[in-house]
Amino acid sequence: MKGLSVTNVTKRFGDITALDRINLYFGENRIYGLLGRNGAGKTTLLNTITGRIFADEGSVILDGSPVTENESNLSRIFMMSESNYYPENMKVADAFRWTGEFYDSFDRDRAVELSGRFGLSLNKKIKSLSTGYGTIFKLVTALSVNVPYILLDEPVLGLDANHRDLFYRVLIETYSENPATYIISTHLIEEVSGIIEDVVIINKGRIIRNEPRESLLSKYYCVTGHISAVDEFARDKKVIASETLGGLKNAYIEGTPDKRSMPEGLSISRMDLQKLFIQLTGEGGNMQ
Amino acid sequence: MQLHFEDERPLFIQIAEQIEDAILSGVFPEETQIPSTTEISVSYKINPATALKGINILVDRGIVYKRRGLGMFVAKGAVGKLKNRRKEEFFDNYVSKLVSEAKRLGFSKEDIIKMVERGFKE
Amino acid sequence: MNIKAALKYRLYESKKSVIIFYLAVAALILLISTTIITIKTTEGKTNSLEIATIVFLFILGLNSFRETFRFFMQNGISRKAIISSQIMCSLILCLAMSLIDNIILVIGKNLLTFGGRLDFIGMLELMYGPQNSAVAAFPVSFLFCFSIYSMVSALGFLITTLYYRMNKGQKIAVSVGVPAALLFVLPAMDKYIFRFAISNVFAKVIRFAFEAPANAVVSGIVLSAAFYGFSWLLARKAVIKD
Repeated sequence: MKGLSVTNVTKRFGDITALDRINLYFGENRIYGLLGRNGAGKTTLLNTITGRIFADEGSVILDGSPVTENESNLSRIFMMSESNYYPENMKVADAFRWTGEFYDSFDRDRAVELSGRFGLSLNKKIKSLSTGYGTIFKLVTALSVNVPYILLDEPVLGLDANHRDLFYRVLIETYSENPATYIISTHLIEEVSGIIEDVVIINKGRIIRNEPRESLLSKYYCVTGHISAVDEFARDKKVIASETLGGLKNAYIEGTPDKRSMPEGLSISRMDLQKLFIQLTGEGGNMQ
Repeated sequence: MQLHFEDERPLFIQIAEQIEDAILSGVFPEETQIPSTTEISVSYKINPATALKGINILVDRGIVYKRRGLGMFVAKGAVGKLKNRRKEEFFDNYVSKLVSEAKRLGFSKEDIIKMVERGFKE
Repeated sequence: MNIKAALKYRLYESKKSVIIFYLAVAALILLISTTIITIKTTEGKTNSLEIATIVFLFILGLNSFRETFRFFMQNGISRKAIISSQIMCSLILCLAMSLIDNIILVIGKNLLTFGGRLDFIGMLELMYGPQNSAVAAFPVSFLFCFSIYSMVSALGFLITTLYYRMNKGQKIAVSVGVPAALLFVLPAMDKYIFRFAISNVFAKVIRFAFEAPANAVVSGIVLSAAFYGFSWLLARKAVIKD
């Protein structure tokens, strides 16, 4: 079967279950957002997918065969890690050269061009780069490697607003010219919410949501108005969260609104991904 | 041009509407090219599939059409079509809202008619 | 393909250190030669070249896991290719360095004698005395050096792989426990419980293993294979750590 499937993967570190029976399927040429709070298990999941760590149970299969220790599958996945795994004294230009040796599909000219756009100096040692430029170096590599599965773990760590903006543009350009499956792991949801097609939410080692963004968001809506009106409206509905500001109340409701029967004085807006994420994963979340 | 992520309408519908607005206001005259899916998705920072979905709505409505190997172009008569549709929607989108707000504020029918007349003069 | 690129990287990385090492060796030989030329009364023996190579290869082996493992994992290289490339790289280096060392020895013995005032003594000669035939001495010395180099390099790799796999507690336990066992517990047991049976057997094994150059070559190769075998078992399950 085509695609990347994670089946029943469990990973424990001592007493902690970092991944708890994870089942996921990543199709070809789609952009996935792997969303979770810090420590939710995002990096552990990505490390397991790429065979950098071993699952205690379960399997990771790419196009019908395992990924771990499988040369042809390993060369079709690239993971940009949050940690820097490059040697102490390696320069940016050397890293590009060696990535080209390891991945036939790596486009060095593209990497040099992107470095120019981001202002990344090729002669600097990787370990001497600032957090932001360290991230940029890893991003430039990932966006030039041209493999069918690209995993980005916290891709905007330490980037300023301009660089984040540039990254999202370059990501979309690269994806348009050279479609691939992208799995973007992040806790900064607002900025990627337009880019990702599919949402995977992980919380405390478990997958709690896994579906296209549009379908996920269409399951909820937000009603705003006077406290008493909102409470009256929401009485027989499933409210996942609410906030009040003076006499004004916002209620986040599960279901689809019936626009014709909306009471006077209430307005409806769409649930946004970040708000939904916070409700689903927050301490006050009641939807585990 | 800006998208509203908390708008109750999905992103691809907002995309379609914004291109329609641009066609109506003459930014993209008939028989000229509109931006490509990639250009739209890069400038809005949205998934190209979403942008494509938005453009496909316009294709289905006969507002734009595809020229093989060149890109998407504004159809002949697109402005007329858009105006007709928007005229049909005018009552729902503007008049009914206007009337309900007017009631809330205590305006009479005559007050509103006077204001509309003033609006046309200015 | 993967293994080839991995090997290429390892050789490229080792190249610099090897060149620096031999530049130092050349400088040393030059220094000794000038000293002997300028100060007429000095006489010298040099027998440290191969020992230096052994130390060098051991340290190189010790430094060959952590950084490279992480870099290779980042680049989708399998653990199989990581260890295979290490073995191949080590064999190539040991062959090359054994050849270079023996060529230096031949040159030293024949050209840099300064009328008998300087003598280059190889490891083989040091351990087994002068060889009967100078023609046979070269290939024997070459194989002998190679097998010892390979054993040392493999041992370095085994130790570093072992340390990578262990957690902090295990590292401390091994770092303290192994020397304690070898220096105190084992000799004590040997003396009081086994009445020197252990040391007798051990001495016999060592004597047999290194009795003649041929035994030493075989022992060196067997031990390298064993060290690499253990390293493979350890590296096979190694995971990336931050």
